[in-house]
Amino acid sequence: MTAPLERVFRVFLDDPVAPRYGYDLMKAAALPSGTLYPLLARLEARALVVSAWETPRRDGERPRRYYRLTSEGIEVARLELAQLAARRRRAPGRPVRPAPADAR
Amino acid sequence: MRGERHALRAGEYLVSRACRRLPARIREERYQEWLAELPVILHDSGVGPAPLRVVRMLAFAADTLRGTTLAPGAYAYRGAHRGAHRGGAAKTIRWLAVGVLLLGALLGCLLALLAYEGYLIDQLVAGASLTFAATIVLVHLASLAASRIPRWDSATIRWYSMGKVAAGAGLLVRAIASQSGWGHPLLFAIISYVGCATSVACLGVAVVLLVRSSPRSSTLGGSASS
Repeated sequence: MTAPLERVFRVFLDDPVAPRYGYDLMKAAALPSGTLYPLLARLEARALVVSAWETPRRDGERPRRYYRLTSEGIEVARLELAQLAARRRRAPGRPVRPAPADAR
Repeated sequence: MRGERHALRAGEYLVSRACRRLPARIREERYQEWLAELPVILHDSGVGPAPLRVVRMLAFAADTLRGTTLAPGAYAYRGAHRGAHRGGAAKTIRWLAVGVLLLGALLGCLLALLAYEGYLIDQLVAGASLTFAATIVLVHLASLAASRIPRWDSATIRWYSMGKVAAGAGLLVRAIASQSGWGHPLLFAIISYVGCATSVACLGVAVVLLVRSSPRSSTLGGSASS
């Protein structure tokens, strides 16, 4: 699992049922748009994430697209993060790049 | 926010360029999605003052372009036309070259500005040149006049130009006096110093106006982006 994917999973798992906008995810995971959106696209292709369009709340406002983990996505994310944590425990000397504190 | 429309247009242009590299089936959807995020970033008060938000918004738009152009691997936007994943190294080099050129241009502008201000100080200390002082006054009077035109109306530019006109006028009076042998040189030196001090004060006002031109609170989708 790549570091960006780990960060995105962690952000989603903070509140698994809450829908998240791309920009929110960018801020929370501290990832640039050019990294985040391809990542979301492939998670969606694997049916780990679903997206939907919100209804604009005001006239002239553009509808925004939000993302949410599917139930399978939640399971996979938890499993992957648990495996990652176990790998890190087994190999403590190995350099790792965890998500920054403000990205959680 | 002043210049918001232009900033948004620049962001939209970058996003549209990015979307051209996407497969047709997802192009429109992505375009709408990214476009909707631009005003949200521009009004996100958590990012900081307006200039910073503009930079953040443009960085968002530019990075979508990077993502659709350089995203490596099998899971990138599959099916992107124009062979987005062929010749990846060449594209990386091209993008790096563009980045270096842009950085060079930015540094060049900064150095030119520093050289200009440095030359002004040099003129102040060493004695003013009539041509230089007259040029400063004329150029900044022109920019002052331009800043009164509604389309380019900008208080920041107005204050900056007023400051430079004051500095230029001080230097001009000193240069004319020294060439004609009028009065005591110290008197005209003091006048030119007062002109430059006024210029510094005006520059301060311009900076404050630039910082305060941003709305303090988010007006669009503030709760959604938090």
